[in-house]
Amino acid sequence: MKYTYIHITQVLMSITVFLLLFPGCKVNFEQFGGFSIRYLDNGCKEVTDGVGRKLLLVPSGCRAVKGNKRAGIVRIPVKRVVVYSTYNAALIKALGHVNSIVGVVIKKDDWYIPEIRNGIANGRIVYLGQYTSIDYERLKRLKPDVVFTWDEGIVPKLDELSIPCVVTTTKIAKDLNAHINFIRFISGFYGEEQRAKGFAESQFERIKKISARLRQAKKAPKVIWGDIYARKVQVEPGNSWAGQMVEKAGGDYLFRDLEGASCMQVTLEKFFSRAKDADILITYRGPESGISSKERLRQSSRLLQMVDIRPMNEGRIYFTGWKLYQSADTAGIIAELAAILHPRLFPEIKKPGYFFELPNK
Amino acid sequence: MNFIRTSWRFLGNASLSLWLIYALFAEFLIGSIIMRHHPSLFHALKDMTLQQWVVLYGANSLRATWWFLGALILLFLLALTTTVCGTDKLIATIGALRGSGLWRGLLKLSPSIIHLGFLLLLLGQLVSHTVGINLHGNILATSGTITVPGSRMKITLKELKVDFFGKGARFLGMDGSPRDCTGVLSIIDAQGHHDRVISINRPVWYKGWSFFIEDFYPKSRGVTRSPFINMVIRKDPGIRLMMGGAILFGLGLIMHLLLVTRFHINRGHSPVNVFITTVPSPVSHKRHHIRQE
Amino acid sequence: MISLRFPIETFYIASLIYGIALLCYLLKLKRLSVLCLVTAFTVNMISEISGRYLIWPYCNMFSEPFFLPLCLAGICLILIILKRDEQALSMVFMIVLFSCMAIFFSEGYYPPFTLMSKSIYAHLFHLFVFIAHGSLIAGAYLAIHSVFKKKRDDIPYQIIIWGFAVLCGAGLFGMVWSYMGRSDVISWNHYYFHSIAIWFYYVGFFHLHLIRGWDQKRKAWILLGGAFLIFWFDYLPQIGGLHIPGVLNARLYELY
Repeated sequence: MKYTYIHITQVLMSITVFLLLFPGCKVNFEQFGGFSIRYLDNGCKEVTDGVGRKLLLVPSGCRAVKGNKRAGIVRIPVKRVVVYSTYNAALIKALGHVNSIVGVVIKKDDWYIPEIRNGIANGRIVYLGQYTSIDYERLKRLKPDVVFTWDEGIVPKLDELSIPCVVTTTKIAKDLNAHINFIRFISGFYGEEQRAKGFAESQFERIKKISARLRQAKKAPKVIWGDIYARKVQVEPGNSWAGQMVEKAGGDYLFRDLEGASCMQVTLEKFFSRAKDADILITYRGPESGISSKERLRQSSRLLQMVDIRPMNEGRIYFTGWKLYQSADTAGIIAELAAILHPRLFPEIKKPGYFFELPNK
Repeated sequence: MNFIRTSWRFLGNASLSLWLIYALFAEFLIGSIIMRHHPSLFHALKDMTLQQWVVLYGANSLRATWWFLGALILLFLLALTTTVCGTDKLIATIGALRGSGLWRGLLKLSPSIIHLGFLLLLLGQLVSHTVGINLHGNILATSGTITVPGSRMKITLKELKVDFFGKGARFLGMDGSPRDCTGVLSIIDAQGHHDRVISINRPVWYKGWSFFIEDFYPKSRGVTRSPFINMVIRKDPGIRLMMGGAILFGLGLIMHLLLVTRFHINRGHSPVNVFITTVPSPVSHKRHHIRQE
Repeated sequence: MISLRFPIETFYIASLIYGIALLCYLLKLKRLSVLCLVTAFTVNMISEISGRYLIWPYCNMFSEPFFLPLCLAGICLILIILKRDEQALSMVFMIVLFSCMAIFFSEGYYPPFTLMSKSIYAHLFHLFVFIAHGSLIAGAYLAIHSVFKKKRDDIPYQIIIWGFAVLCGAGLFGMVWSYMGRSDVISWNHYYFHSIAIWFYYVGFFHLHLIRGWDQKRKAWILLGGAFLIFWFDYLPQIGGLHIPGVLNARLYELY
């Protein structure tokens, strides 16, 4: 018996020592949702993009570290990039490198970041066409260091053209942490890690302050973030940054338990069983989609004509403005959302920038 | 020698096994709650080995991953105790087989078969997640070719057919959504061209390699772009062990259930009495607290 | 062509008949209660088969709330065949409870369609899981029932043994399904890990006999704990968690 206890003690002590020493084994590595950066020798970095492809970032003038199973090599800091996502463009602007953007796939009129709008106007930035019909010749002539894309389908073509690309979306929706910290992933390409870290930390600080003010809130309004079409409904799941922003803004997000991709389709039954009690509906469909009022929204969907939901009657419906996807200031978005949900606690925020209420008619 | 005997006796202790089982239950339960708040940390395990994950993610996010690391250690200990207990029991069972009929003998052996199956499953999972090749993010457009890393094989997606729900589909919201996705992979190696059909839930196996469709495009009708698939390429040496483990486990379980029922019908005994067929181990029988109800 | 409302409406009818069976039991009309139970089981089975037929080859992955009453009723009928009428009929209130939960708390009948669910292994996995859960819940209930009746009874433990065996079968089919669809036998999400946790819980239960002091009474409470885990982690998410009840809106199906 005595020997047994000695052995038990020895085993437990070994495990404890191992666990205490274990943190010392960690490598220089950071992960942001489905993306990660691993810092190697000589200033090199290995990044993993949204579909699990690994790219090697090598400082200009340095030799690439040997490794296999990598999707490409990118010389850093990058000086010429093509971006698909307006949010990524906003992050690059926040890093102070908006002038590195040389190509986009969204036309000038849909851009509201002035530097990009002007850049397209004066020819510094090239509009490459819609994502389904990219002008590859023009893209090749641009000689970008990297293409930040949400479209996986372009990967084989860019491999053919020997242009490295990074897929900036994941199958599962990015949560709020990953969404804000994505600037730190992008910063790896520019060598602006400190600046990005500072930016992200300031965002989290501001969100904390918003949460502190919300402690006085008595009740959390019920919120849904989704789109109602003629014959289907899509919502932001609870693991998405949109759903988590609602929670941070003091709302009760009714699809908190759902997990999946952004704008996931849900069954009508599920949507309507929850939406009927919602106080607020946030939708991506606004005047640009032909929805300028609650009445127009009802007319656009047979579903809404069949079933009553509270936001269509006593509740409120907000549509998202362009600024939501072209701003890196997530804390600002949450503050405005908090002002919508708890106007008495945020009286200073009156002018809408990100969310606009749909009138009844 | 003393150390080995003591360790063997310690590992063969029934209480230890039970503690480990319930510790694992607690770890996995707590872990499932933690996972809900950190899903991306654990999603990463789908495309990297366990050891890579432990060093990169596990060590860097201990607040969220401690339970998983603990569970790995507990599983290792459980595998050890299962091996020791199983060996003890097998030795004792084989000794007691003389004089038993065929069916009673099989009934006595069935728990050992179940435990062996469990061990093989664990071993297979360990091999699968530590050794082998697991490559995600292989985007293959129609008529495009990729080389399988670490081999001379080339894969071409000859064609990809995506079927969609028609207009006025029975289920609302499904019109224009994909109903099925089937492709033809052409595998080119030294032996020539080999065409294989690939689909969702229908991977392709070829010379130890396996190819899976993780995602595909187009996802809606009317899109005028070259279709493509996002393919997973795997070389998994652990899968055969897992299959063997699963078969043994299943066989052992079915054997046990059928024979328990048979004896219950024949003898009028409670199957629970017969189910508990632990036989005292010659090595550690003093430590086993055997209950027969 | 079968209407999309048919499986839901037949489920309502089955629930009503389960309710009548309970009423008959309470009024000590045992024969009528058994007859109602058999009828309700048949109607519930028709509902289940028609529902599966309508979405075939897709699998209804979240239909446990509608399947559980069927499974529990099936176990009741087996107990009646084994001449355990009293025990069987005492379970009817649980069947009625789960039927009401499906009607008033479930958020929908038809699942979102994913190509991943288009697999025979998905069907087998979910069928086995639902049967296992039904058996484990029934076994736990009967075990506690026998504790309160201060009667020693082995039937609950037999049900638990079969339930666990079916759960293991579900796990094996699940592994095959996951491998075929996702290239990995393990799904790295919390659903998988809480299912593994529950599996280990029952593995522990089956090894309790190795330790002194675990009599039937104490084991019954362990089984109750297992039933609670199944209810909290597996059943509740399928009805959208704890929320204010509302009857499934059948009007929506007129749109289909």
